[in-house]
Amino acid sequence: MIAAGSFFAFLAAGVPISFALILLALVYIAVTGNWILLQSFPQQFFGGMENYGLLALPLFILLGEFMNAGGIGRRLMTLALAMLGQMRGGLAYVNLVANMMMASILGSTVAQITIMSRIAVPEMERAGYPKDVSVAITAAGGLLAPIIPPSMMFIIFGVIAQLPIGDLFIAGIVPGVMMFTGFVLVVMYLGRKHSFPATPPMALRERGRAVWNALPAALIPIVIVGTILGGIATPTEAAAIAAAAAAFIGLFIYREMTWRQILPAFVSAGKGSAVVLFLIAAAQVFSWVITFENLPAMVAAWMQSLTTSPVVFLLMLNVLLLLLGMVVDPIPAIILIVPVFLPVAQGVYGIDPFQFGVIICLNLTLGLLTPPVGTGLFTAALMSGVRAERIARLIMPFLLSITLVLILLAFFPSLSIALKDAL
Amino acid sequence: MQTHIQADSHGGWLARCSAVLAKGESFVIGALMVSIFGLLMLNVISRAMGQPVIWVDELAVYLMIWVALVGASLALAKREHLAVTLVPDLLQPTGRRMLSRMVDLLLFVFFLILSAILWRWFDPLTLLRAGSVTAFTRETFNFLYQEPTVTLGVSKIWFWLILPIFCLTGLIHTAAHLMRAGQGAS
Repeated sequence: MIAAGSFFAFLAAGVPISFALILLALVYIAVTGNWILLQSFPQQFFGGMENYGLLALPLFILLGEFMNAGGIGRRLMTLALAMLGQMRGGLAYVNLVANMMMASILGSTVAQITIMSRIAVPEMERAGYPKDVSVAITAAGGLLAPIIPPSMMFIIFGVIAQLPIGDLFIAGIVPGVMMFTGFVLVVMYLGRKHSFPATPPMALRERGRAVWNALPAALIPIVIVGTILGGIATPTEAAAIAAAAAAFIGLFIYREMTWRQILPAFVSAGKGSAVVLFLIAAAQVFSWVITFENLPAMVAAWMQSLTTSPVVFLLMLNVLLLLLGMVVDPIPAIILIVPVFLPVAQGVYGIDPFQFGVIICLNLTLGLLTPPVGTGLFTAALMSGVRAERIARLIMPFLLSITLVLILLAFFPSLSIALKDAL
Repeated sequence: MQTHIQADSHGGWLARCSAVLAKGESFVIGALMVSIFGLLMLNVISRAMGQPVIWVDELAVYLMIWVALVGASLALAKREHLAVTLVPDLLQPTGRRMLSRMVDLLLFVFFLILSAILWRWFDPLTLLRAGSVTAFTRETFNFLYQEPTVTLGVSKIWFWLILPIFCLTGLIHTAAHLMRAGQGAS
């Protein structure tokens, strides 16, 4: 009790979440007088990162850095434009499709919103779309990143839940497509409400050129998904191959990247992943402590007194996650929730861990766009100059469509499991 | 007045030390990341040629852990760790500064505790007295210096050494924050 209290006090005071988790373990050891645990403390901490699957994380972040420098995002946007043709609100759909393509390369919402705000919003504004609505669509599109494989959140969930990351990636495909469909419906509604302009006509020649130019960029997602599904490479190696390909394309084909940008990209990817990896190591110490405390069993007993239905359990979990996601970033939230609730979901309610993982990851991404602590929301605001409150109001219909997907996922496990089993 | 000046110069020295250290850490992270990338590419290529190199994966994972700890120390210096900022954001600037100072102090104390834990774990004095790793293990039943790696053929202690390094750099960065805050107050 004292340990839990101190943990929440640390969190509220603004102690970095990773350190709050480690301090919780120390306070627990002090309170229970189990000093002998201190002897294995360093080993637990180091061991928390000794995981081959985790290596995918720095490499996918590196891939994002190369993509950003190499001008690949803009080619994908033009490709989407060439594919969709002339229609009302065309650019809004182009934005979504480009986001979908980007999501199959990047695994992080914030990275994606950063790139797409720079590419898509000015383009839409020039074509006569209201700026705030364009920003809202771009921000919502960023939510596809953590669900469409490769996904940073699936990597972390896979490491904590000890599930194969490649299978988790496949489990995310159907929910990702559902989410995309929901977004398309919302854009249709917005298009009618704000009377979006039609896309200017594009000559066949120009269209052909756009496709030709985008071909190397479009190869990257194919490399990633293809090598993983084909069993040629592990997700980690696929990320390394894709990063090498992105650097090659940026340097030699598009020539937008220079050799000088290579080393800073490595440093920045290293820094970005270090914070997440350290958090995961801290989480390892945290789960080690909660096994002594037997927290999952306590939660299980309490949940069982509330409901015996897996669907009701999942719906309650969704509400809890929504609240948690509002104040905590998705990655630390996964780290806090999974060790406690996964054993309950599997053991008590017989819920498939893949279904559980997809719901958790999808739900927690919502928090990226909800105030008061929405990293994605503030990134979009920062990049575009539109007030965060305004964006938050405009993305409501998108968030509602995700909520609907979440409810469907809770009722129909096969949406998350069937494709993985079929492949 | 005298103490004021002393505190100033002391904070300045530590702050400079922390800044230089941060630059070095950036460089090390870059070098480690390039190595990890190179190792994985080596793995892909060597396997495609039918001659897989078995030790690559294990080494890459250890280097990643080094990236994590060097980067975590750097993130302390730059205050880039993820935190819940709901309460600090609600406070007035003065309250926020006080809270932030308390957090800095707490982190500094944490690194002091970690030093003690690591000192007991590595137990360097007993090792010196024992004279050899075998004698140390026999005496203490602490197998830390003899734990092997799976494929690398070296002892794991070489990779564990990042823990005391992390602890030391963490102490320097958090102390520099505290000193800087002390200067701000005076």
